[in-house]
Amino acid sequence: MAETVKLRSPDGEVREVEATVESLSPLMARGWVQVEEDGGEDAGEHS
Amino acid sequence: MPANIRETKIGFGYKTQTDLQTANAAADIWSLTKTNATLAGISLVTEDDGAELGKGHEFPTQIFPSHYEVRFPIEKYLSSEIAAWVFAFGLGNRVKSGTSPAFTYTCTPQNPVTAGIELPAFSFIETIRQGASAVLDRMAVGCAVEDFTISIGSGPGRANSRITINCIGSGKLVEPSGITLPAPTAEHSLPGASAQVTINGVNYVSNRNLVSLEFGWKNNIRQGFFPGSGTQDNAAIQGRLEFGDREASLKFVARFESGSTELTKLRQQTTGTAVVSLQGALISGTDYHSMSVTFHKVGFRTAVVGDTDGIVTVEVECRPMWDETNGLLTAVAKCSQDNIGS
Repeated sequence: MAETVKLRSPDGEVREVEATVESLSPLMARGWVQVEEDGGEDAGEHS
Repeated sequence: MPANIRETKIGFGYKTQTDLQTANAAADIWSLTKTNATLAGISLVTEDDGAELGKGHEFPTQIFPSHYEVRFPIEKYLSSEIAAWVFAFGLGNRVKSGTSPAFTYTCTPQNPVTAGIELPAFSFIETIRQGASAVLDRMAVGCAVEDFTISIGSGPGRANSRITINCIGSGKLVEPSGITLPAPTAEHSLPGASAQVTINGVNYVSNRNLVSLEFGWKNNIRQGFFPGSGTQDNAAIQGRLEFGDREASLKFVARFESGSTELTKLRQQTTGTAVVSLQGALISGTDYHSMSVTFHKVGFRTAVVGDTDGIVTVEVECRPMWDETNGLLTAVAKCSQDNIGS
């Protein structure tokens, strides 16, 4: 089973998704960013 | 004592700076090798008063510092480490997954609506004989990736899998750098011979027709001088490094034979995905040092039949396009370095 990561949408929705290109690409293209386990926003998308 | 250019060492942040003017901490710097001898182009641009009236002649009487320009290229044999770094810093949006010793960085172009247009920044250190007899020991603070190109060619050796990265700095400098460069990070090559390439429905590895391939990304960074952008040595520095109209590129040369479809696809404007993957050494279990770039929708912009070393080939320039579901592209790199782009 693929590993999962948590992403947060621009609207604040948090979703756990598989860490695959197929799962991540549609969300990242729409501005979803990674959320770390402690709930804080990861620095993965610069702002 | 004269210095050999091969004594040059470089280091740069593998984590992002907290802001454009705050340098990376020493612990967040890694040192990698490079192949180009070009030193960082750090220029204090000046101007004079030659054209001003009131002096009684046309000759300059004073020189004024204007602004700093910082540009530097990094050319390297391609490794999983530099691929992960350039995807994170060049594209701007990255998701990290995995646990030690294998980390996967999935990167996409930064979404300007949710993340703005300012690129992640890093500090760049360049030294020759760092220490008491330093020839060079300087740090450019607030740098960003302007563009990168990954090239895969035919033939033996690491030279057939290369990366060129062009960077721009804000102009803020620290000299001496104040950071002792760590030992070079052990990098893991991604040889061209490992390539897997499928473009617009054709597997160019299984048909053994691929001759060379090149893909790249350009941020077209906007000039960041503005009122209050900052000064150094009474010269202006840039207060922001924001991307402009970004561009992705992909082109390749393949043998052209009976049944080759490139010209037909150009005429019919057939679109499809393009996936380019490279793999290196085993990390552990089923995890390998690797990189993969997926262009979610490409068409052929040009396809020209010619020859390469006496063999009939077709040179194809692809046009990466926005896919309504998956966006423009997704770049993935796997290596053992944690926290790249954090």
